[in-house]
Amino acid sequence: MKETNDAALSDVRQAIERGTAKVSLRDLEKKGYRQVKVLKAGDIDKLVHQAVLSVLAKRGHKLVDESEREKFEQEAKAEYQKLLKARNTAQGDNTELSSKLQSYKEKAKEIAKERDELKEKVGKQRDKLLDLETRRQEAEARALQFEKQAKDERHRSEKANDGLKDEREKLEAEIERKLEKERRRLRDEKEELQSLQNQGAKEFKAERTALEDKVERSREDADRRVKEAEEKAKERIRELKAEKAELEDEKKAMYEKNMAGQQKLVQTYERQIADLRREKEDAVRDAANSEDLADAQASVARAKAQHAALTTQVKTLEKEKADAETEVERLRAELAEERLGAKAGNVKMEQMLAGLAEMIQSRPAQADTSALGGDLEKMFDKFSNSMSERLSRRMVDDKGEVIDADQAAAAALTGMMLDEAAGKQMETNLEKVEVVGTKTKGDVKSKLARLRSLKGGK
Amino acid sequence: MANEEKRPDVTIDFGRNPAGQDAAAPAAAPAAPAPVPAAPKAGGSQGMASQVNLKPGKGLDIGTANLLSAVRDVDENVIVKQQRNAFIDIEQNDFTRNMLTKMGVQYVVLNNKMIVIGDPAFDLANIYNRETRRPMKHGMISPDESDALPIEKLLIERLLGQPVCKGEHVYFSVPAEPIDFDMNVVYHENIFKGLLEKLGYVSKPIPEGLCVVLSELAEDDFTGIGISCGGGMFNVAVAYKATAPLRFATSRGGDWVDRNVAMALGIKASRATYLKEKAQDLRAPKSREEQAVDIYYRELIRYTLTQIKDRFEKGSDMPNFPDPIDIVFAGGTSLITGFIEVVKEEFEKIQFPIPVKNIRRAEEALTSVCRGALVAAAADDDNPEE
Ligand SMILES: Nc1ncnc2c1ncn2[C@@H]1O[C@H](COP(=O)(O)OP(=O)(O)OP(=O)(O)O)[C@@H](O)[C@H]1O
Ligand SMILES: [Mg+2]
Repeated sequence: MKETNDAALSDVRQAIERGTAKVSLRDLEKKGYRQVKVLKAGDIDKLVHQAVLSVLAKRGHKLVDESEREKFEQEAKAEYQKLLKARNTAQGDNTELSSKLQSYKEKAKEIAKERDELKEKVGKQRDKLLDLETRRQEAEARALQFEKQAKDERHRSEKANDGLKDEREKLEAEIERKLEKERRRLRDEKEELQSLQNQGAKEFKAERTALEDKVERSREDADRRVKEAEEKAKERIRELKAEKAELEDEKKAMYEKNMAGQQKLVQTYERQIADLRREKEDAVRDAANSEDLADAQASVARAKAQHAALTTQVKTLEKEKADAETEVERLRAELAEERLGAKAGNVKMEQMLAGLAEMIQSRPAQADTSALGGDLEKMFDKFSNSMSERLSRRMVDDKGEVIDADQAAAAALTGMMLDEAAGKQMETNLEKVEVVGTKTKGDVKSKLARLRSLKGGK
Repeated sequence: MANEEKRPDVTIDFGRNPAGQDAAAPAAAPAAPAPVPAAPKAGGSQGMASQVNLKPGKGLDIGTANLLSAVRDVDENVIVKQQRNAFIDIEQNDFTRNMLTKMGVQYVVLNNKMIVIGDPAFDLANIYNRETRRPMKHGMISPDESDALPIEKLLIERLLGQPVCKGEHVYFSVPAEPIDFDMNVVYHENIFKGLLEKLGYVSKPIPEGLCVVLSELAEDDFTGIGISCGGGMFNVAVAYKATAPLRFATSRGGDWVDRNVAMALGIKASRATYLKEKAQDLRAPKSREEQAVDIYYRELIRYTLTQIKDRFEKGSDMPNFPDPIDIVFAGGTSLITGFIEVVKEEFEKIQFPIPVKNIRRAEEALTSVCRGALVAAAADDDNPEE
């Protein structure tokens, strides 16, 4: 019997096992179940066991066949449901009660807390009161003491009144003294400042005067030096000019004399050649006139020989003449060159004068004049150098006259450079930045009228 | 420019800033400008268009420091353009090219160098602590500057534009022979004559001093003394009824002051120029620098007046004036505050050989010469009328 019961129970357990599922609390919570009732597996067994027992008791102890067993199980199940329900109700009541109890407990706790707080407040109130009381007592004590002190003080002050007056006067005197001292210090400082300013102004003035003096002195000094140099240079130029003129004259005279001599020589040669020609012709004529053939032949031979001799002589003379002419040419060229040289000399003189002027112009007008004196020779060197450069640019036109090199060079240079510039493609942004003109008064019309009236009036 | 406010009535745009653009924000300046021919385009539409309303005849002041042109339009307004006669070369690379284009600065590439011309050259000189280069020196085209001529051509081309008609006359100012310095003025004259004729003008030189007389002494029938105080020299013209039989130059000018101040203070000449042009009163120097400027300026004035006086006394070519005359000063060097006062002070100290009625400065001292040259061009019978 026991065995049958156990087998049935294990069936029930299995059935329960199959019909239930394990669900985690979190999942339940997710599904919205906050409170669940829990049935212990043991309790289920117990319930089923009771149900089975009661069914069995109702039905009597006999073995049932399959269909009966089914019925039996149905009944058991129903019984089980009934029991379950009953238990649930009991347990539900229980939970309600316990939750009520819980809330009462909490309320009690709150009340206790409130009571504690009140107690505390009361305690504090009491402390405050106590404190106030102490303070009142202290204040009272102090008031008493103060009164006493005041009394003493009044007494003392009456006594000290006279002394106080003295003290104040002393203090005022002290302040006055200090003020006076301060005033004095200020005055002194002002005076010092004044004197410093005066001194500064004086120094400024002195510096300026000194500077002006220096300028004046150096100017005078430079003027003097320049004048001296100028005089010297002028003197030298005069001398040079005179010398050159003399030399030129001499040379010219010499050349002319020389040339005259040479020309005379040529003329003599020419005369001689003419004479000889004439002689030869005479000889031929004489020979033709001779009656004696031998004589004639001899004279022909003589004449021939004479002719030959004369021809050589003529040739020599002609060569000599040509040489003389070449020499004349050479002398002429030399003379022309000499003339150029003379002109170049003039250029040099001009150049030197220009240099002097430049020196006057560029002389340092401030203090340092020593440089000027020492550099005089150097400057002259520079001038003569620039002169030789200028001479090398010297130009001669087709008539052999020296032309103004600067002007010619300028004309040529301008032409060349401007042509070059015109042909060049230059990168520029000039077109984009225009020069803006400004209107201004000019009154050209009335000026023109005045000019024309002047012209008409003349 | 520091002295902008001291130029009466004229404010001159130096061509740095077209259409009032902010220099830092050039509108459409491409990074790499296309090469353009240096020669003016024959009948070029742009050049001609801007000159449509101009009357023929132009005045050109060719100075050591400044180039100025003057023209009149059909309404008789006088229009003046100015360029600093200076340049500076800087290394040619993409960086500098971009920088210059960004700043709206005009440049030309010449012999593989970037050449910046006019006023910006001064700014760059300050930036690089260098001196500007000058195509001219002592009032003449400089023989030391090999790049001078092409640059001068470029500057003048830009100032004058093309002739408005065939045979248009340009009168250009030339210095007189200096009395204290030997210089070949004819050479200088020829160069510019050639240059202007290459540009298509009929060109005629006119003495710088006479230009001052033509623009400032109309009231006195163009009789009196005109003095142009320039950077390179002072030019004097003694005029009688619009002719100047006596004229000469002295070789000291504003540059002389700059050089000497620079030497005295141990600074660069362009720095000295800046100090000098900065507003200050000659009669009340306030610092060591101003002191130096003052000293050399006075010396310059003293020197010039003495030279003039000497020349008058030595020469037999001095006209006999029936009435006392005016002396008019013009040119940049006369612009400094207190100039006329100092001239009067120094004038008192010397015995001037002719009676003088009034010493004054031209109202527009900087443009006086080019305006005078314009009067001369307009008065030339060969200059086309329309
Ligand atoms: N406000 C100023 N104060 C003093 N100097 C000035 C002033 N403005 C310009 N300058 C000077 O004037 C000079 C230039 O004057 P300007 O333009 O008349 O000369 P330029 O005609 O170019 O020279 P030049 O006639 O000698 O060849 C320069 O030396 C410049 O420094
Ligand atoms: Mg000038």
